[in-house]
Amino acid sequence: MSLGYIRSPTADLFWFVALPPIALAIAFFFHNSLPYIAQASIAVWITAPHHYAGWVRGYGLDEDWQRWHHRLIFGPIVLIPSIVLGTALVPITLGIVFLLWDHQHSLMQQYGFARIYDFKAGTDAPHTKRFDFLLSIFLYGNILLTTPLWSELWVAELYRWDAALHVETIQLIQATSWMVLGVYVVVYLGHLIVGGVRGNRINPMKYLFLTSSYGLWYFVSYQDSFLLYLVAHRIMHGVQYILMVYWYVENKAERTGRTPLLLSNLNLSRYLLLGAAYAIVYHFVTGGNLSLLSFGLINSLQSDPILNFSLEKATGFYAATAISAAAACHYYLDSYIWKIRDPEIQEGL
Amino acid sequence: MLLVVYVFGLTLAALELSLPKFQLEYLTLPEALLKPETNIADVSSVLYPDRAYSFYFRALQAEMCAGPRRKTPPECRKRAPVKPHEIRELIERSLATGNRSIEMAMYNYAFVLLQENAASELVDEAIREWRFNYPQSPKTDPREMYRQMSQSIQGGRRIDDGEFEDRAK
Repeated sequence: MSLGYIRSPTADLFWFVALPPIALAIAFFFHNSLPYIAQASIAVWITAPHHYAGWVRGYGLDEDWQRWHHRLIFGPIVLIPSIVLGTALVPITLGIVFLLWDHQHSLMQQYGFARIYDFKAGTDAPHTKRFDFLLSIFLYGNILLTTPLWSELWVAELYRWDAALHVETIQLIQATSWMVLGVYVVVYLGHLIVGGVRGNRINPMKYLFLTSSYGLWYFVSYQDSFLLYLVAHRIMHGVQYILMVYWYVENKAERTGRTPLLLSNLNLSRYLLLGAAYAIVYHFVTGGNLSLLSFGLINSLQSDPILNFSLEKATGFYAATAISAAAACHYYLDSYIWKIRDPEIQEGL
Repeated sequence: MLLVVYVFGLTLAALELSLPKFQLEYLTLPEALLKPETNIADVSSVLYPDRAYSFYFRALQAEMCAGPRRKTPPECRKRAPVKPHEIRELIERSLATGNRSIEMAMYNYAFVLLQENAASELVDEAIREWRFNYPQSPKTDPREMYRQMSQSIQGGRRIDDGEFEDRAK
């Protein structure tokens, strides 16, 4: 065995092993206490900033720009018109492609982190990459084919395409999927044992991480609540990605001594604040409203039988709270940052 | 990767364009709910009998087969008659699972309560629950929808009665 960490033992145990169960706990809070619409706020506050992190990673580093500028320019030029055409002409196809692409993207992120664990621990034996990739494909594919949450979706979708299946056929597909996964797990274990005999080491952190990630996915996929999946998955996927990008940029700057201008003053707080600002701008530019930023608060004020606020009153309440909070922080800040007698402050005067 | 996505997407797009038409509410059509052996209500009930969607699909199926036997689709006549309150009970069981992702289950629950002349507190509570979870839903208030439907049914009855009277004459 050989231990290796993406960041540090504590950070990895928290962000890569404990985060999925924490995300599940948050998801259960949403499930039990918040309106269904509150899950959309997770998309605003976690998913949108994770896109922003992707922009930072893709377009913020000079080195990457030089390596991939053709892809960085032409990729969107090809993709965006395709999406416009797809939305107009074949919206269902577009929806299915995006759903599947989203799943592939999710499994590849966890696969990528698993690869980093092997890289960091020096446990990347020959063929490990391929074995891990197939493990991810079979584990995730099995979720989609066999678990109730996703089976309900594809079974129902087949009716649209006039391709409804008999119960026996669906059960056969699911049994086959479990069998294929079972056989592959045996093959994978064999690969580990043979590798161990040959002196290859393994990184237990990789397996802890994979168990935690797939544990979340399997668990929510057996629950009768799409909300649980939406909240737990988005938190795990988004938060891990946002942090990974930040650590990557920081490591790059430290190791190469060259920090791009755009990122030169980007500490973690500012990085996260910029992500939040991006989320707000993105939300309003795409036609979102105030309600989705507030985890359903504005709507709860309206539907509360005692308060029974009108939309205007609920929005006004929210706005008044936000304005008062900003003003209070401003008054509090000014009460100590402008002390003229302070020599450090005098330096700036 | 992009190439794989494009090839898959184009294949699916060709299929989508070649099919006659796509209906948004395709799962509420008789083909989906009543086709022997492969209808979604029976299939999902066998696969996942205690899940919200299974109960809801059964409620939709029951709704399609409710009413006088001679007026229901032929497939309904091979099925057991719909019991009183069956639709309401099935939706209640769907909602009792805690799954709140089926907006139509919440919406239709309020509607079914109105149809059954349930206590106004129950109707209000059902509508409040629907609005709490889907505050931005563009759907008409179930009370208003019920009122409009009742009026159109009464109008239809008047036409039927008129036709009957004409024929009797």
